[in-house]
Amino acid sequence: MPVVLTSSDSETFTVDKEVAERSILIKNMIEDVGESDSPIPLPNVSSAVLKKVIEFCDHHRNDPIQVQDETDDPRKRSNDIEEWDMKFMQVDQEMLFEIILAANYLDIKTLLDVGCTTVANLIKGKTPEEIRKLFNIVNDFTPEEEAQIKKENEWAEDR
Amino acid sequence: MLDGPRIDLLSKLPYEIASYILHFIDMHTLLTKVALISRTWCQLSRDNEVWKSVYLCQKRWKIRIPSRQPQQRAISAMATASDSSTTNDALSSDLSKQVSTSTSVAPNTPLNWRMLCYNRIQLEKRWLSVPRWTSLTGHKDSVYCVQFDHSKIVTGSRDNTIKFWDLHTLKNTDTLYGHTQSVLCLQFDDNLMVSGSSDNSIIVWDMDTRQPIRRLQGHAAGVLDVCFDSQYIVSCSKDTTIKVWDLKTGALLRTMVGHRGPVNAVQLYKGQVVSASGDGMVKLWNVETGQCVRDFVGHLRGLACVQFDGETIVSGSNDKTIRIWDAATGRCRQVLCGHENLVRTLHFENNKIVSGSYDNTVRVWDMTTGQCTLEIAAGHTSWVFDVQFSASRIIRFVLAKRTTAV
Repeated sequence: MPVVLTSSDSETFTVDKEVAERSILIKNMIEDVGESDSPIPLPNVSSAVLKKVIEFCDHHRNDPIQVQDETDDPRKRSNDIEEWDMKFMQVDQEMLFEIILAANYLDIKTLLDVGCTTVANLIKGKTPEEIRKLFNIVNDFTPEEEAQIKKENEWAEDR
Repeated sequence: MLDGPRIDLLSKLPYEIASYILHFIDMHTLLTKVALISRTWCQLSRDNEVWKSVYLCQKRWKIRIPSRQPQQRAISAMATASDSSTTNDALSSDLSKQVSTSTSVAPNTPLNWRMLCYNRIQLEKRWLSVPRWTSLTGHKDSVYCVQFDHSKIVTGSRDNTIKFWDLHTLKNTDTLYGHTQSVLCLQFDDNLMVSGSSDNSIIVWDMDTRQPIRRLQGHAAGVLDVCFDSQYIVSCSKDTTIKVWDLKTGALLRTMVGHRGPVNAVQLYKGQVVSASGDGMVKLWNVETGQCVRDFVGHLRGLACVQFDGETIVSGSNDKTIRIWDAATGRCRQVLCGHENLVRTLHFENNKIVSGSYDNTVRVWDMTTGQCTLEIAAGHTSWVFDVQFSASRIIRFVLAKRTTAV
């Protein structure tokens, strides 16, 4: 039975239940209220973002469900993103921001991880100046503070 | 990334998500890049959960966090906590103080993971350089054996005595008399110490009073190595036998015969005994039955030392090599070459072997690659008899001439 979702800007999306249930939030909601054909309102997600999220969930509809877990082992974490996910994340920063927020709100661990890894990979391998430029950040340290942090963090050097 | 407005993602996202992003960033980038971007980023780069993840991502860094203990076991909870800070070496001295003092109040005081990472990095750097060393002066003759824990060093000497040294001040705090010839081997825990001597006897000591409890007689020649667990004392001798004694009563339970040369080293691990002999063989025995379970053949000359952790056996030989064996199959996994003389002593833990040799050097080895990662020659003009290390920055070894280098 398909599930109807309504975005913050009142657009409705009809998706298969197994796709919608990639979101733990929606899955729990359906379990709690029982199946019905009345739409599920998602007031925190715009139609543009919801469209992307559904695209992701549809692609991953057959993946084993990953649950956020206290014992989540960081040793198993990897920064490799599947090719499809990487292409999926070829969006501007605003959309990236919105996707991460939506993944967090909808509780879709795999999407949250792909989003966070994408940001992390943007940061890696860049100089601080390049990172600031990329995210339009103003350096609000005084030169003294900056020197102090460099000194405090010296132990990471020459590795 | 498509063009579009540029936004400070980490500052705009909720703190939990922003710090979660940093879970995917390595330590070096965190410290030298992320921390320098802005005040907000700097704040995020210090998040304790982020550093916990950094620490746990390092497979070679182990930690045992004291688990929640029921109230009635408060005392053992304290013991566990101080154990974890010392035997497990996760923490350097100031942190171990923090942990062991705080555990008496709240066993679950959060750890400062960034500080733990910092200490680990410092320790790893020190493992790559020749350490500073200090001498312990006091024995009237050669030191043959050593063991240390978080507070003390204990040495056995050719001068027939056992000496206790304060680990921090390096002052001699106690001298134990009992053996009538050289003290060749010793092992202690919090309650007991067992020592073996050229006088053919073994003495069991009370660690509180530092007085002998009983003397075990039975070997027909010098006792070359001893070890014990909660049930047994196992000793090996120049008389080619291994003897198993009841720890509580001191009764001789059985004698294991099979080696054709002096048995130089022995180790007991969960009901299994591993022995190394001058006949060139490593043998694995069942302590209950006294039967030899397996022979490990490959060394070309006599063996001087052995260690066993239940899975892996590491042996050192007069053929100048160290061999790493698979205890379950008897397969030789690695042969480590480099020492230029007999390998007299070794200690392994956490994929690292420290060995001491009659070539007067101490070497550090990587157990996976078999490569020698450090050679310490400075300070030694004499044979190295015993060695022990803990990851927390300390290697200790013993010289022939009245000194222990730290």
